[in-house]
Amino acid sequence: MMKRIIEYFRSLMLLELMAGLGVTMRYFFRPGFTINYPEEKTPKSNRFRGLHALRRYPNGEERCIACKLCEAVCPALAITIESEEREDGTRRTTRYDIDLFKCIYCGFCEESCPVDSIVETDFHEYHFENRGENIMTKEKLLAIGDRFESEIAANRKKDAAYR
Amino acid sequence: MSTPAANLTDTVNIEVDGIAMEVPKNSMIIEATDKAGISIPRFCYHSKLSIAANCRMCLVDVEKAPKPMPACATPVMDGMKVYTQSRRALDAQHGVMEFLLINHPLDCPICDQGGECELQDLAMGYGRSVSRFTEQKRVTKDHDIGPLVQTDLTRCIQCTRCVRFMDEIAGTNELGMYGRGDRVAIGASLEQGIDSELSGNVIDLCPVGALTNKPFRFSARAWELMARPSLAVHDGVGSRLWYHNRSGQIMRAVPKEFEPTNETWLSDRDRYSHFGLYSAERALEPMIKVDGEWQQVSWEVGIRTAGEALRATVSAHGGDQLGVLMSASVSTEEYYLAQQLARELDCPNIDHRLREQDFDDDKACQRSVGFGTSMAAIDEADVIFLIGSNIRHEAPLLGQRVRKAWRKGARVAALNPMDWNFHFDLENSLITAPQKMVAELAAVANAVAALVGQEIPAGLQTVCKTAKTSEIHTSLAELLNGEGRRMLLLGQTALAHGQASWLRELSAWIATATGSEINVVSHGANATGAAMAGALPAKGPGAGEVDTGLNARDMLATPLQGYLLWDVEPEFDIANPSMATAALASAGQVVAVSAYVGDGLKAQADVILPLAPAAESEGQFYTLDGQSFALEPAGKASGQAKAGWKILRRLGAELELNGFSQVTLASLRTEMLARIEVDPKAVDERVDLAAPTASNGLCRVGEVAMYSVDAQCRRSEFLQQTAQAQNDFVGLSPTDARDLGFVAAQSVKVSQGGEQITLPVRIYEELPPGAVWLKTAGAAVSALGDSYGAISVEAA
Repeated sequence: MMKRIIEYFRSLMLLELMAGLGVTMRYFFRPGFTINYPEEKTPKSNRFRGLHALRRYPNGEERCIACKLCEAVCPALAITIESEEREDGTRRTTRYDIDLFKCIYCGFCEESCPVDSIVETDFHEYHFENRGENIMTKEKLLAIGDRFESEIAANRKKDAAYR
Repeated sequence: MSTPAANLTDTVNIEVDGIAMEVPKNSMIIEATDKAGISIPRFCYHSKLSIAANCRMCLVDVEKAPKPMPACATPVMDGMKVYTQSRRALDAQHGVMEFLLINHPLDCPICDQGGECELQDLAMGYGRSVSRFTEQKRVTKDHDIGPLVQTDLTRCIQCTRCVRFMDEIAGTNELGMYGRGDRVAIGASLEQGIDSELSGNVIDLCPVGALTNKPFRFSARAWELMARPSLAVHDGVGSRLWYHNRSGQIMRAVPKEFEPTNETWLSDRDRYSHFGLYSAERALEPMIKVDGEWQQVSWEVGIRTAGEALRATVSAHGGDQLGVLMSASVSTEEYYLAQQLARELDCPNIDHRLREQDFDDDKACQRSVGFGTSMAAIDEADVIFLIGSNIRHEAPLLGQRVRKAWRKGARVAALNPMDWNFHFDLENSLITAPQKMVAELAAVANAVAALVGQEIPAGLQTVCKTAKTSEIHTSLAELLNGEGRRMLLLGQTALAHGQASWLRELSAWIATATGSEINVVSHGANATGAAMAGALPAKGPGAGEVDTGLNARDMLATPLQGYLLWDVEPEFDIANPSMATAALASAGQVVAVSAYVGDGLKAQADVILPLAPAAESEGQFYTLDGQSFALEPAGKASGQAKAGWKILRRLGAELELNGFSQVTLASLRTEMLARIEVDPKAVDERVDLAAPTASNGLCRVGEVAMYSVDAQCRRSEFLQQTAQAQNDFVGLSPTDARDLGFVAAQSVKVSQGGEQITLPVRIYEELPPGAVWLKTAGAAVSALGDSYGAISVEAA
């Protein structure tokens, strides 16, 4: 009974409120977390899974051999591939589409690729303005690969020791 | 059933993994375990091929044996104890797998076999995750073995299944194993590759990706494909197959195991014909001809126009001025509804025997269809007499059965217009020009009559009287009257022959007199169904009596006012294309329902309705020996093509005829089956035939080119690239070539039925004097006349 009376008077002194305000004051004088995106950016892991790309070999030949493992492993069924025998007898895709609305960026496609062709770059700053732009075609994916090749190669080199 | 006493001598008791089993004596361990459902890994063993025991994957541990034994080549013995999962067995299997993988490339991602590869599957269980082999792998140079089978010989594990298949089943010995040690490689025996009509089966047999499907190459993965059961509709064997489709498009065909028809095989024609499905010449929309221009119209307009055309012909000129010509390879429902349509329109003229020209024995027409025995009975035959049959091309899988019987010791004789290159040996072969075939068969009949002491019926005497019987006929008669199971096989050359009725009647009499069985290899995939459903001028459904109409030839010999062409290309599918073209050109109305629109139909027809071909359609089919199969669509219908029964039902409703109220296929089938099921042997009348007119001079041997039997095959570009598909040449016997003064490859003028074409000559030892080998159903010969008729050849 006595304990409950003491509790009651303590609550009138707003001690919890003061403690809370203490936290506020502590952070008020510390340097802020917020950055001025997009001028400033937070650091990213080299394993960050962003926009997809199709890579080429240094001689300019596309890596993809149309084995369709990525299509098979994709849990969101976002990848569609059609293939044929190219004139030089090699196995190549005629169509390689990724629907970015379906994609869940799990990175399984990258894991399954036997020739390191499909990769997820650490580039995540993209948007669509029109219907249909969510479908990344083979041409678009190869262009992304060409544009970010040095970053992709550098990121994969960093990760090589853990693979 | 065998008695227990017989069991004791015929079987032995063994124990596999502690399970006791009783198995036939002299069988191999792997046969026993397969039957018991115990899995033993294997590559070279195949139940239909001889035992090679060269992959060593099936090594098992046998008690008291000093080392692991190959299960496929170790006969069972009484009291034998086999362990398939013991340490020693597993170690042996793991060791073999490591050796197999030494030279096998790790290119599964680009290999078409990936996902359906026996080596890949077994490597999951028996392989090491990391290879210990660091040396250079062997590489084998490839060589092009033809347009149907792709080789990647670096992947080969030398199981020799393909070599054994070609030697034993296909009988062409076209593949062999060359080289020694690690340089050993499979290769084609001939530079031009493999040419067998069964070559595609090596793709299914190959346990790795060394032999793959060339037209299908790199186009899809096994796991993307949906398998739908279907039926091959290019011969009457009724081979079961799986069509693999991706989003409704048929990508490839593989055999479906079914012993009574195709066993585990599939002919190349059945395997590759589906590439014709997506030809640019597919009929996709209903079309009508307005002022000589083709217009695409809706189904409503198409059906109305077609109905008006038929109605106009019948009301202006009478029902007997309409002719219904049907392909021999459509469903029974279509035959049933088409004859219903024709007969309701008072038109008795309906026929599906477009490649035949002699119908004098039409009263006994049931005899001209199908088999008296089952197809599998060919395997068991002791004597086979082929009459006018290139069985290898007419029905490749029946040819395979004849070969099987021959390998078991059957004696095969033939009466043929050409010494076709069979994969079995003939004894007593009567090779004679088509115009002398009836006389030769009559001579055999004489010999049989003398042997069995029976009179030849008066109706057949006209020919038999004059036939000269020699030693070869007598020995053939002795063969036919001898021991064991004897069988006459009447082939498509006999059916298409100018005196087919004589060949039929004579062989029927010979069969009865000698107690042999008689089997007829009809044209098309569903001639049995057509005859049952009454798509014949002299018989209705269930061989019922009807007003006799004109047969396929008479409908064209005297042109009618209107025609309904059902899945027929007049310049290719009819025995006499020049006659067909002339008759159709003079007709007032030609309604064509067809899956393909070629130049011939565009020129001749007034209305074209798009028909879904069998792979996209539904209906009941009957094999030569009467087994039924209810076909269902295996792929999405292209364009607006519809199943045949739906088109006929709409057409019947449009014309307000009786008997077209069926709503579902099931109700139609119930109605149809109640009317068509008869015992074909119940109808067997004998007719007196007019004496055949003797002709001297040259006669054409116009067999249908194997890959031109129907519109779909003709449009399969890969089949057309094969050597078998070549048909633009004229073959002459050395005697005739010498008499006419021709040398090989010389261009000559061939004339028939008032038309003339120029073709190069080829000289064949296989041809008898008087025969001119000029295949039908090719673009080059579409202007000529009868496939088996008089022909003249002169210098160009």
